[in-house]
Amino acid sequence: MTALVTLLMLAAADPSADGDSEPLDERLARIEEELRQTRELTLNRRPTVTVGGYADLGFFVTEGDGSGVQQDLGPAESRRFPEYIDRFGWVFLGDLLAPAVNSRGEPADLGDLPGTDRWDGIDSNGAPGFIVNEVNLRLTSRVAESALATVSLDFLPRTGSDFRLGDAFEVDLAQLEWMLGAARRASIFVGKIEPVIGIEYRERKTDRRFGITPSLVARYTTGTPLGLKVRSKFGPRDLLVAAAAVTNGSSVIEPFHFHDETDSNAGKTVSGRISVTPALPFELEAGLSGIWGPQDRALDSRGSLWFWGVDVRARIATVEIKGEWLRGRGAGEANRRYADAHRPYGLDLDGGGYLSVEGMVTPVFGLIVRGEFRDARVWLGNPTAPEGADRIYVTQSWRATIGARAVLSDRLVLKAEFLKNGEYGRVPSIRNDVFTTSLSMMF
Amino acid sequence: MISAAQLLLVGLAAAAGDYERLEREVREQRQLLMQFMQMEEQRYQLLLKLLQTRETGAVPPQALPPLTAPKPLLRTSAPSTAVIAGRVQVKGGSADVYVYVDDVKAAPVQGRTVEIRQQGKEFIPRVTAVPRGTTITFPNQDPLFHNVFSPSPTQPFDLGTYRTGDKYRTVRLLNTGVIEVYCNIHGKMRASLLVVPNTLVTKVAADGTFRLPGVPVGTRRIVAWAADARPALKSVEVAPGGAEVEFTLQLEAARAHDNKFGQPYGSYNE
Repeated sequence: MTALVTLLMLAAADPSADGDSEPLDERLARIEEELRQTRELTLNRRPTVTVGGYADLGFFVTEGDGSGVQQDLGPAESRRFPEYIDRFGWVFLGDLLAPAVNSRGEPADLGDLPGTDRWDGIDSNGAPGFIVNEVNLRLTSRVAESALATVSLDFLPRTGSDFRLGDAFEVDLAQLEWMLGAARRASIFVGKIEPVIGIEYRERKTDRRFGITPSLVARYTTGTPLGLKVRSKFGPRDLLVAAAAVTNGSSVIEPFHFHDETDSNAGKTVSGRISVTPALPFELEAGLSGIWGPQDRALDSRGSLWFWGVDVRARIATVEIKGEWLRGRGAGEANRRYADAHRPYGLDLDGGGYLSVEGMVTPVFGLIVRGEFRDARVWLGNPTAPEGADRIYVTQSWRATIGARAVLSDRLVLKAEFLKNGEYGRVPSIRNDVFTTSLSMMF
Repeated sequence: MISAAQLLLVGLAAAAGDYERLEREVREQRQLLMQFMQMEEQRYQLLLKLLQTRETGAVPPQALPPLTAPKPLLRTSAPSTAVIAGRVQVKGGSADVYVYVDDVKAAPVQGRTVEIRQQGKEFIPRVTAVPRGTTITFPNQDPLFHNVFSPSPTQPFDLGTYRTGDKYRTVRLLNTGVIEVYCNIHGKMRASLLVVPNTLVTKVAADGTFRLPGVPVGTRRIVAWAADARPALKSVEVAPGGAEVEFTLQLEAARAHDNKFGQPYGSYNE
């Protein structure tokens, strides 16, 4: 009888018998099965393409007419560079890209220079104004177990003319990354790829850049060439990273004088970088990189264009210090003359570089300070020919930048920068300081 | 014997929360009681037969089944325990190693919290072992955003994106197994969490030795675990005087992982 009484007590205490007709074990099994099916549904409905990108809005104010160059005019005695009077048809002093207003490095105005027909995207004539700097659309997709396809498209709303829209778009990246090994420490890239020279290319887009504007040497190192690249990490904690590429052209940005999207000569450009990240109490990366190849746009592979440089990046607590130095040469036309569309510019980059310090002061507010210089001559034509060359740009520029950023959320960043552009040597001072802002909306 | 008051208490606790733990306890208790009832029934029937046949003397008194006490339904005294000591040899490098007892079931721990912070684009500590029921907090001490997530089937979660100063997110680990934790923004960030079924877990010292007290005597499954090695399991006879065991772990190269969307991070992601 005791057993019967106890069994009755147990039945009363059984959670599965408290008014719910479904036994507890069956109910649990059903819920577990539903959970398993829900997980499977979630996994199987995961999109095969990741969509990202941003819209970058800005407002800028510039000094003068917004351009960074002025012409060296007049008789020899009044010229800054009288030695060029017989060798170049036009002599321009300053830096076309110094008054940059956005992360693309676009100048507020290219100026009205004689003898050229250029796409002056912003063409502000010195007026302050609002701008949609760039709308970027980035698609990534795993196209095979070890392969990642990436496409990055830029859309640039600009002023039209003659009833035509002025908007432009560019294919910024279109690459396939094939990752080798289970640890994926080596990758082979093919397509329109990020370059291997220096370190600034990593933050060439505004959503990855702490400040707004690129450095004065970014024009040489942040273009996206077409070709093949191999990159691999070695040693513990990626002590050594090596990268090498074979591309159509150099890593100069497309709007500048030196760039080949599709090649016009058979010779290919080779580039490489090696960097070390030693085990230290703070993060330090030091790199050496170079690039060499036939001149961009030239119809043959006789003349060469090359750059080499060193870079360093250190992170101490919340402060990041970055620096690059670069040197380069381009033969130009020398004793040859090419068709108009394929005339290579000559380059004598004696040196250029920057040192920047950036960091978040509070979780929301950060500061950046950058100092830099560029000492270069860029010319078109043959200065040793009897009739001389067409033009030359003489740059001896320095720039001090101070900026701030407010990280309003993980998808909304407001930035402001003041660029104090200066000249040294025989290049006269040009009124081309810039104050610019950027509101980046990431998605 | 369980009392009605005890059953009532169990029922009240179940209503208050932690349904899963109580449900299992009730189920175990029911099984034990059912066994005991069946034994009581047998004894009762035998006793009846004995009384009925006493006059004939057909059934000897020795035919009664022995009266064995069932295991206590609510533990009133600690079982006999011992210390397991030993050494773990790690081949192929150095690693944080934990040793735990795999086959001692226990209810999820309550109120235990462990912190894994995000600092310098790393999870600190990188490797942790906790008993089931532990709550992990993930404060972000970096001046940038992180997105902590785990795709591990043991207990997948996604804590979303937050930074220093934001209210940090937590997750309570209720399933045993290994949970790999990543940041969806920074591919190099990785933490490994081992969730064990009880509190019988210890971290192996730098010299490879360990000492694990409080292990119930008997045959026990002991496991040595490191984040990048296949776990080593041994069945150990734990005597009241303790036991000694040695393990060898072979470290393997870490495998790359995907982001929370199931896509690779790409070579340049830090």
